Order: sequence, then C-alpha cells, then structure tokens
Amino acid sequence: MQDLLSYLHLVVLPQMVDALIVGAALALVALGLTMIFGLLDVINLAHGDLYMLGGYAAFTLIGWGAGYWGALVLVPVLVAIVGWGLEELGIRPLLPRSDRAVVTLLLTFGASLMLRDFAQVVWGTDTHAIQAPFSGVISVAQVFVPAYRLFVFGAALAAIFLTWWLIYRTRIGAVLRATAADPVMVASFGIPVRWVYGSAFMYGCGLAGLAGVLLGPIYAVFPTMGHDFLVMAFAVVIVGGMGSIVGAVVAALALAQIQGLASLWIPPVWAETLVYGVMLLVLIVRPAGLFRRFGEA
Amino acid sequence: MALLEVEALHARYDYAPVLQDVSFTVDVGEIVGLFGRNGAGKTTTLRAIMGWLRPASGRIVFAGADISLEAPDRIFRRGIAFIPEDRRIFATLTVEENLLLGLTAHRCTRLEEERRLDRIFRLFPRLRERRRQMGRTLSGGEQQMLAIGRALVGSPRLLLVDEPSEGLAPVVVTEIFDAIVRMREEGIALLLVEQNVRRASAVCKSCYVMEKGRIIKHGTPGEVLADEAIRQRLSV
Repeated sequence: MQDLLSYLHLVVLPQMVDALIVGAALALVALGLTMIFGLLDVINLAHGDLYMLGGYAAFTLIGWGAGYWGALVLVPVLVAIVGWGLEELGIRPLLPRSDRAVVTLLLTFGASLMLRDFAQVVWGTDTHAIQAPFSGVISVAQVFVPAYRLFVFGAALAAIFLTWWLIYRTRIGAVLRATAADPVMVASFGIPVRWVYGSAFMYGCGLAGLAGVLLGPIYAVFPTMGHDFLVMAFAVVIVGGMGSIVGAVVAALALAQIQGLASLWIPPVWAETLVYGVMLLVLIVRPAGLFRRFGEA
Repeated sequence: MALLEVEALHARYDYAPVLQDVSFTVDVGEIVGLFGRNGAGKTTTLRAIMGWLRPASGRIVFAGADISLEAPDRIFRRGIAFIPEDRRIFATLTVEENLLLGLTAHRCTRLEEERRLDRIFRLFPRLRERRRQMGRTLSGGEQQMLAIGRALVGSPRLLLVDEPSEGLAPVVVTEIFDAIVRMREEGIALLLVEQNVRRASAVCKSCYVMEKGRIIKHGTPGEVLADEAIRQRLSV
C-alpha cells in the first residue's frame, strides 16, 4: 500500500503535472487551428510551421538582445503578421471557390513546406536551445516542478482564458460566433466578413507563435518541431470537435494526459500511437467530435 | 425620384432563368407588396437587391446609386436591411447580441445603443424579457420579432421583408403587421413579400404580382385584386 502511494506520488503525479503543462501548450496550437476551421472551413496545414516560426523568431530575437520577455511580446505579433500574409495572399482569393476545402488544404500544405525550408535555410538543421528566463524549482503538493514549466502553464492558461473570453463574452466574439454560423447574414448587417476572417486567422496564428516561444526553452527549436506538434494538434481538434473552442482545450488536456501516463508503462512511441487510437475511436463513434463547433446550436 | 428603382432585372441560377425583365419602384415611406405563388421569383428579387445574387443584367438603383453589383455589407451600409424568410436568427447569440449585431456597422456610443435597443423593446416587449436568452430558445413568433428588431435597430431606409407571417399563429401575425405599419409611420419604406395577400394588401400602397419570374400585374391592391384571373392565381 505504502509502495503504491509513493509510486503514485513520485512517478505518476509528476508525470501528470508534466502532461498538464504540455496539454495547455498544445491547447494553444489546437485553439488556433479550430478557430480557423470553425470560421473559414480551412484546415491550416501550415499551423505547425507557424508554431516553429515562433520558436525560431524567439531564438533570433533573444540573440539580438530583445530578451525573453521582449520575445514573448513580439513573437506572437510577428507570427500573426506572417499569418496575415498567408491569409491575404493565399487563402482569401480561394475562399469564394466551391472547392475551397481542397484548394486551401493544398495551399497551406505548400506554405508549410516553404516555411520549413525557409527555416532550414536561415537557421540550419541543427537544434537551437533557448535559455529559460528564470530557473529554479517549485514544489507543488510535494511534487517538484521547474518554475519555468509552471510559468508556461500559467501563460497558456491565461491565453486560453483570454480567447474564451473574447469569443464568448465580447462584442467581437458575438460577431465571430455569428460569422461561423452564417457569414452571409452577418455581411447583410454591414459587417465586412473578410476582415472577420482575416483577424481570426491572424489571432490563431499569433497563438501558435506564442506556443512556440513558451515551449522553446523546454523542447528547443528545430525545423521539424512544427510537424510533430501539428499532428498531435490535429488529433486534439478531431477528438474535441472540428471548430469547437471548448473541445480543443478539453481534448488537448485529456490527450496529453493519455500520452503522458501511457508512456510510463509502454514505450513513448507506442504512447503516441495510443493517442491516435483514441482519435480513431472518436472518429468511428462520434465523427463530429465530442463538442459542437462554435457558433452552432 | 423613387427610393428604390429596379429596372429590367434579369437573373438566373446556373442556367435556369429565374427573373426576367423585372421592373418596379418603391418610394420613400411606402409599403410595396410583392405577391405570387411559390417559385414566382419573389424571394430571388429580394436576394438580388440585397446582393446575395448577382443579376445577369438590369439595374438596381437605391437613392440614386447603382447597387446592382455591390456586396451585401456595402448595400446594408447604404440603408437596406433584409429579413429573410427563414429569419436566420443567430442561434448561439443572445437576443441582445443579435440586436447589437444589427448595430455593429453603425459604431454608435453605448448610450445611443441603449436608446436604440429600448426602441425595439418598446415595439416588442417580449424581446426585453428574453434579452439574455439564446436565439435558439425563442418561439417562432419571437424569432420573427427578433429578426424584425435586428433589421430595424440600425434605422434602415428600406426594409426587405420575406414572408413575415409564415408559420405564425394569427395573434402573432397581427402583432407583426402592427409593427410593419408602425415602421412605415416612422418613414421606413418596405418591400413586402407575403403569401397572406389579404393581410398584406391591407397595408400596401401598391403591389406587384409575379409569375414565372416576370411581373404580370401592377397597381393598388384594390385594382390588382379586382382582376378575377389574378385572384385565382393568388388563391385569394
């Protein structure tokens, strides 16, 4: 009995705390993905690479002397601007087409490859470390957690809450929800829907950039970091429900726990497979995901 | 000069013509009825005016400006609001949020917003009671009131109304028509598509009868309904 308790306390609990932090960061990437899908019906395959770009931009800005905190503020803005370029030049002209789901998938896939190659040309294929802004360990319920990881959790949670608040408690959010449900009717009340699309796309990309800065000091930055994360974020969005805000957060936290705990007992590669198994199961049992698309009744 | 002039409008869905040589006018502060059977082209006419459908040829002139090829958001900002047949209430927005959406393009102050909301709530007191409720929880009649309120709150100069009485109980229909008359008294022009020809002709100054995408008759409600053939067509 004593053994079991100390096993839970010393092995399982720390793993769960770690998974909670990964889950919160994953939720940031998944939130952007699901917002963009919910509003524009666009599956943004470049989303992971915008996360990667966030990591590299932080690396460079810190190298230039902006400091971690400077990077934390600037990077989401920079990545949002890149997202704006992608939306304005690439996606917007394709939106009126009836086959927009397919052509925007191809477009964002191309953008993804370009961004990854761009990163390799500029920063090389090596992994770059980012120094955390502070060190130290904090004990929570007698589990020792690096202070920076706790900060990441808090910052991600704050960004998630801000997003929820924006969408469900503000006037802008009302316009977003209405646009997700019925863009033609929204336009018929004098609101330029393309601006709504553009700003939501930018916001989602900014969240990916933020995740890149936050996780940079934990996982370091490398050209394919976005790819690995995106696949996981897709599993999250599918389980939570394509276009669901609450679903993205819940599924991110849940899948991170499943992966984290499973890797205690099975090889980590198989833990990832388990996550995709859950995704597959959800697709079979409840193809629309666990939660409703935002804006829909 | 008329507020709205539709001149020789032609429109088609894919290759099937749905509007052929449709012309009519709506003057400031008058209610004009658009009658006809299902599929006659009434809804399509409203959609074309609101910019939901690009006309194949012809002109739509509003307050002196050609709006035929403009987008819906621009058309709204010129002063035209549309209440579609299925009402299209935003289901996951509250009653208040639905109404405020109709004001978003106006960028008015908080005080002005309150004043405008209050005006709608006085027109439909039931909406005030339901202010914080989600759109999807409203009854059909309340949804129609909200649809009218949402279009009215931005003070349009012309309101396009598609089948406002459809599927509603007679008591509610009376309430809706009272509101329509009140709008006209406030100087708003209305283009009213309605199956309930008897009710509508009581409030219209002039009306047009459509069939197979064309206008086949025009006049005051009295003149139009005096025609036995037309009465038969409209099953009045």
